[in-house]
Amino acid sequence: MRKYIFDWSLVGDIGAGRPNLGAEVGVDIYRLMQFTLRDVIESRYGAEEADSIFYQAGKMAGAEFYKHAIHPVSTVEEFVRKTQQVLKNKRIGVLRIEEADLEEGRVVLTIDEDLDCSGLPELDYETCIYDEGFVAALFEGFTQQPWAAEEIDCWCTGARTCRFLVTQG
Amino acid sequence: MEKNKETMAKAPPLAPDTQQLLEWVYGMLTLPTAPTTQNLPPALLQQEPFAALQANLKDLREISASLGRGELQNLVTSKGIVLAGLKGLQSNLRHLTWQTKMVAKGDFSQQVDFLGEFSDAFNEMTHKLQRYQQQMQHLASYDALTQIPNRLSLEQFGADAFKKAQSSEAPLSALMMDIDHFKLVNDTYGHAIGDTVLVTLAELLREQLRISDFVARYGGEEFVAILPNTPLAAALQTAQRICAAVRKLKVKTDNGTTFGITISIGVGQIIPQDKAYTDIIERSDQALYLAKMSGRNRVCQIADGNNL
Ligand SMILES: [Zn+2]
Repeated sequence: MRKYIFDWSLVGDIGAGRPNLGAEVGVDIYRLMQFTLRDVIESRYGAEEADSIFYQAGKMAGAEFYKHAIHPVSTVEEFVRKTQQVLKNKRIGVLRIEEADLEEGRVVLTIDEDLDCSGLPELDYETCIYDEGFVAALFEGFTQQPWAAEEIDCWCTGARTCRFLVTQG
Repeated sequence: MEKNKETMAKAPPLAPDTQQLLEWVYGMLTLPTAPTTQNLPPALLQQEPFAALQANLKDLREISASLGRGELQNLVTSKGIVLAGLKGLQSNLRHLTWQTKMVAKGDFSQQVDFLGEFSDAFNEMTHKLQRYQQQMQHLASYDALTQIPNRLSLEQFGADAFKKAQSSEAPLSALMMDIDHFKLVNDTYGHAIGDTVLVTLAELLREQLRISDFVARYGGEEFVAILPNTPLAAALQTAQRICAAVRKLKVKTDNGTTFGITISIGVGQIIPQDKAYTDIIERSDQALYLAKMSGRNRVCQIADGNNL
């Protein structure tokens, strides 16, 4: 039996629920949640399956986030500007664009001070799988076409910013 | 330094394999053409760390050469802190390229913060461009003398107001206004006083109309007002009020005396057959003609195409 089929209402009425503590919580707590969850999923299902689960979850989050925080936007420029604003206001990260050719289905973007990975210990693989799904879903929301995102540089691999290659199809 | 050299000269010779590897690495970092791996021991070539080193040095050579040539398309895949610095620079330059394209499209909100003095210069440039653009826009859409919108602005406002009125089936009226005997004012008191009359009248019109109304200098001594959500009867009242207010105006001449002016106003409103806001303007113009023909200093209307 399913207990929690995601719906935006699960985010809850934060204003009513946390009149004193408010809507914000530390990045450490977010990461604690993400990486403990990741640990359990990974030990139970393996790293590859865990990646796939995190990518899918990121996609679901991105799609919902697009609907509730970014839509409606009409031009590419407006989409980029609004997304930059919202990601910054929500303190998710600083989005910047290196190239954005939506007609050709190719975008390269970076996220500085990324919520998921900035400041993490250095590894030789990219960590922001959840972000990959999230970013892909934003473009899917805007274009109504399938997109995929791959993190090609990450804080964890020595870069001081996360760089994503986002492609259509 | 000297001492260092001496110590180095006295150092025992290296094993040939190590010597060759060192030379190869140094060559990868310094030579214009990448050295081959032919001289390196085959066992080394099969080592994974060597493959990683080779790939990293190769990417380092590539991105460094690309950056040196100003090419920003080469996205290399190797990782690590040395490459990260160059990739960061490349990434920033690519952001800058994109940001500049956005500025070219008229988005002056673009700001740069990663290149010290250059960032300041870029940000000042976009700020100035924005100011110039605002000035240009003002020059293009406002009448230089009276500082109220010009005919170009009227076209935009008129078209929008017409579309809105049509889709919401709301009333829409227009006033066509012309100063009576303006040529006589110019001839009697000079063009400077004529200009004062135009400026004074523009101010009066702005005061008499609502914020939601629009008034423009149509040309010469002619002014047009567009009154959204206003049926003909209300537009006539507004026109009468303006006409009366103008009668009370006192314009000062150079020698301190004053004189008065009057205007004639034609009023028209939207009718179902209209195709554009200019149809309303045309009827208002016909009404203005009637006002002029019937003695000036008055308001005339044309309710629709047939009915005077
Ligand atoms: Zn990352």
